[in-house]
Amino acid sequence: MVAALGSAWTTAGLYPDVSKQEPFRVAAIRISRYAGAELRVRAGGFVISGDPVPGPDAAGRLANALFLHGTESLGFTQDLTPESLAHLLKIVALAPEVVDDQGGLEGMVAAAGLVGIRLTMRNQLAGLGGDTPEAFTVPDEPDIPLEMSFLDQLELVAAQPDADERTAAVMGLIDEFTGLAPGSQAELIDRLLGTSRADLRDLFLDQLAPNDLARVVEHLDPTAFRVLGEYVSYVEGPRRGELTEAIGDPASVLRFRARVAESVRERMTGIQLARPTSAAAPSADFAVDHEGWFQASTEVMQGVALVEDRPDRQGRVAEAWKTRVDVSLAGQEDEQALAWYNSIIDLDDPPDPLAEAVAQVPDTEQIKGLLERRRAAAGIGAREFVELLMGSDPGRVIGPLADAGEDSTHLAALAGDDPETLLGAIASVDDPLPVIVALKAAGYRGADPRLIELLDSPETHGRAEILVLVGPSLGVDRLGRLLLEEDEAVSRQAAEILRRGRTTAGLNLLFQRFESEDADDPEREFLAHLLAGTGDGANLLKGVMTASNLLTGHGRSLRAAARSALGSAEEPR
Amino acid sequence: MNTRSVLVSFRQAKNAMGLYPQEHPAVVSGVLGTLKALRDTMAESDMTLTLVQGHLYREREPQPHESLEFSDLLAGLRGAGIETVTFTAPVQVNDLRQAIAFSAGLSPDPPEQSVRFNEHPYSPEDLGIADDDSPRVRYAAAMDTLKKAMLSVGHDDRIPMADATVAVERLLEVTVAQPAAALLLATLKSHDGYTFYHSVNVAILSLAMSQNLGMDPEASKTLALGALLHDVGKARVDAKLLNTAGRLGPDEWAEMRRHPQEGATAILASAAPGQEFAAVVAFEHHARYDRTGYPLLGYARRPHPFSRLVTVCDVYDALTTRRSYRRAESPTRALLTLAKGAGTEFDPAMVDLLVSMVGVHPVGAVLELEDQSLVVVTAAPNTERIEALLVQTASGERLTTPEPVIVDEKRVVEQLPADIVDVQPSEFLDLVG
Repeated sequence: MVAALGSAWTTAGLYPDVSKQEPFRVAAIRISRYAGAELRVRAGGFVISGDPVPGPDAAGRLANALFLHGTESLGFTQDLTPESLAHLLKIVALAPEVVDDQGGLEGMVAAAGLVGIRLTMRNQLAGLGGDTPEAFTVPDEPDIPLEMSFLDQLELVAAQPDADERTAAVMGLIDEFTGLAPGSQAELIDRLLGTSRADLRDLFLDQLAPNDLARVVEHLDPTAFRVLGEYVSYVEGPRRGELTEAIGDPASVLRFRARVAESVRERMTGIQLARPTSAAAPSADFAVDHEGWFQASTEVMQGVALVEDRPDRQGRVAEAWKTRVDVSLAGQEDEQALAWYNSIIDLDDPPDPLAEAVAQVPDTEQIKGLLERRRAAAGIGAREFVELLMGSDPGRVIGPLADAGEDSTHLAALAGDDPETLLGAIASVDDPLPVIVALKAAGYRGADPRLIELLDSPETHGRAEILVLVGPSLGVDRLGRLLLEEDEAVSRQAAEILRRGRTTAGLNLLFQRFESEDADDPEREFLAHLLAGTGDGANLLKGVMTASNLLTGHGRSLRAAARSALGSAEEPR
Repeated sequence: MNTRSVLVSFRQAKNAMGLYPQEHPAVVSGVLGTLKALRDTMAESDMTLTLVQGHLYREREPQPHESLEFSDLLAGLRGAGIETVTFTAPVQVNDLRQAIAFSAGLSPDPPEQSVRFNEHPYSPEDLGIADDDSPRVRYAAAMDTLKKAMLSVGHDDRIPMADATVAVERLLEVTVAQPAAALLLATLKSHDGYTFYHSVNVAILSLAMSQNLGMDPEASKTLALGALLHDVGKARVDAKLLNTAGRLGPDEWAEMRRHPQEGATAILASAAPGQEFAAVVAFEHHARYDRTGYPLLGYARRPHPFSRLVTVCDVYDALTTRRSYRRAESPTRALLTLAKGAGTEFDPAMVDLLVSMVGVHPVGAVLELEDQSLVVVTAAPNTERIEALLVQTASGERLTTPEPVIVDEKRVVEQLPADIVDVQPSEFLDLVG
């Protein structure tokens, strides 16, 4: 459809009564076959479903003209006739100000009673709030400064409202152009012919002397040459003849093509000597290089951190950085974790969000390995490093310091009169004992209830150590329950506390456990030795041996444990 | 009229319904246009379209080009739970309107009369695609993965890196097994989302270069993952820019130039160990060989060799693609542009590698011969006898079934950008070994 529109637009510029021309009538029929299709009009081209539709440059020129008239979209119905289409294009070809004076494009189309044409104007859509954004493709190819600057200048010139000033500015550009080397001139023209901004192209070429054009023709790309031919075809008056003569015959295109092919061929011939074949081993640059890839990746982490300049973006970089550290640690890739870590730590002046992210990273498990390696690498103590890294906020540093082996005295000193920081660290550190000792040392009155809460939670690390501190204040029943725990450290510690208490109820609990079928031999032996150390307990053990003599109701291992604990020389019979 | 016409008008009608009320002329015209296309295509017969494994079938016949060209529409239909559409002649306009509304998510009720969904008259085995793993399917899968990746980046979610890795592995297999087909596939240019097609093309070109270099498969995949994701950061560029027609202003360019670091950040936030290298390519692909590009590299080295390789593939594909503000270059012209930038913008070794790989007349190049016939190159770029398909005769007749020909290089008049002569080289994929 777009191709047919381009063809119709070109043909309309060639004939006074174009609707009688066969190519135009064919184009109109082709267009009517797309009844229902709606083309969005943008400067430089048509768009469907958000994407630019390729087409001949003439279609781009038509789109430009429609755009200048304020057209948002163009569509046709099956009623479209060649006459109607010809009339529409005739109106579109008028200057925008002329059309505006006569009621605008839509008004003129309506007034002429044209059938088969559907137009939507931009202002109309804006009024209805219906200007739905569409996804346009985005320029992303490499910069071509020559084209950029030249076209940008032309765009500025085109924006001049005064026609005389516009012409004068173009002449200025042409003066600059003629001062360039022929190769650069050709490149400029080539680029100019390559753009879909036909308005800019015409603005410049319309003023260029045929002789100036003739100088560059033979250097032009074949496609550019073809576009130039198209341009010349719709130039009117004697200038068309001058230009036709200036650009010469198609032989120049053939000469150029041969030159291009030869250039590529020469390059290939030169390359083949050094070029590796599929059978040859690739150079080190292309070999599998995990270390090099990883190092480059960490450099890019640094690079991204350095170029991002807004806090929100830096925040994203911080998240990415934390992810890399986390992922490496989760995969037990400690060296990689450290490298990611260092990629930001080593920055001289990391942006604030990154610095904050660094400070937040020390989840104990993660930071522990890093600290060890960092300390070894930097030759400084854990305390210095943690404080260097994270400042002196006790809430942040106590956990990492405890895991790094810091003694409880320093931890208590850090906590000062705020034991909450120590309590907060207990649940997360690998070895909570220094923290707990520090807590007790800090003389925190409310320590015991908090420690008992932690003790009741099976997820808490170091429950046996907590039991050491709070055990004496626990009741016998509670200690009895702890005696049954699968966690051997906890159950044995509970047993030890019961023994120390020397209460009848406590010793009975130990003895019941000793006799329990659930207890295994090592546990019985442990319990027997605890009981043997107390008067009542020893009596209970002797009772076992006596009872077994009478009833043979106790198992062999139980009797052996009792005998061992009591130092008996032989098992009672 | 053919399947394509039906899909074109169906898509237009569906888009119009999404924008306008049911009685709007654009909607009415769209529905009627679809109806006409259907009636012309079906004549008096019934017709079933089946969507399976990313492929579209009309009855039992695969519609390979339509599968790619209308991948967005087809993905939308699949998203609406539509796997087959059966049209019974004569199709009634109200049924068609209902079908389009349902597919657009504007109606909860599927049609039930002359248009019906999900009747599944053909099983995958009937269609002979039980284990279909064609290059096109792989290409489409890579594109779907990339779309998901960009969607994720746009929503600040993690990129599905595992899917992307699988996609490049599958592209690598095609490149190894059918190198000419892979290069032909990489000429696919479409109006449906430049970035997606471009990125998959760059991945294929990079893989082809890796094969020319004899690279280890692991290195090739690492390279291609970066190539596939090199532009993923565009999903985070200010959305307003995506609605700007024409050339961008300086501030807009500055915004656009952020996409390398945005892409790198997104990849670093998503990658499993070993996948993070893709961030290097994303970050460096505009940095230029002489380090004068963007963004500024915060380290002393040149862009990594893989980044330099991807850069030349990136530029080659971009230059040979028509954009809204610039025509497509012929392949040779694009190579010359690269050659001009060798040593400054581009690594000269990489330019040489690309030139040596694609040659004077690359696979997929459209050549005009002395008699004004058109051929598409299918193999052997480095000889004077070119293997090609005749797609347009000297009299201007476009052949529905191209004829294999051997062309003497001396008969070549001109190499043409494919879109100028309205040829889609990748259409001939099935004719290339």
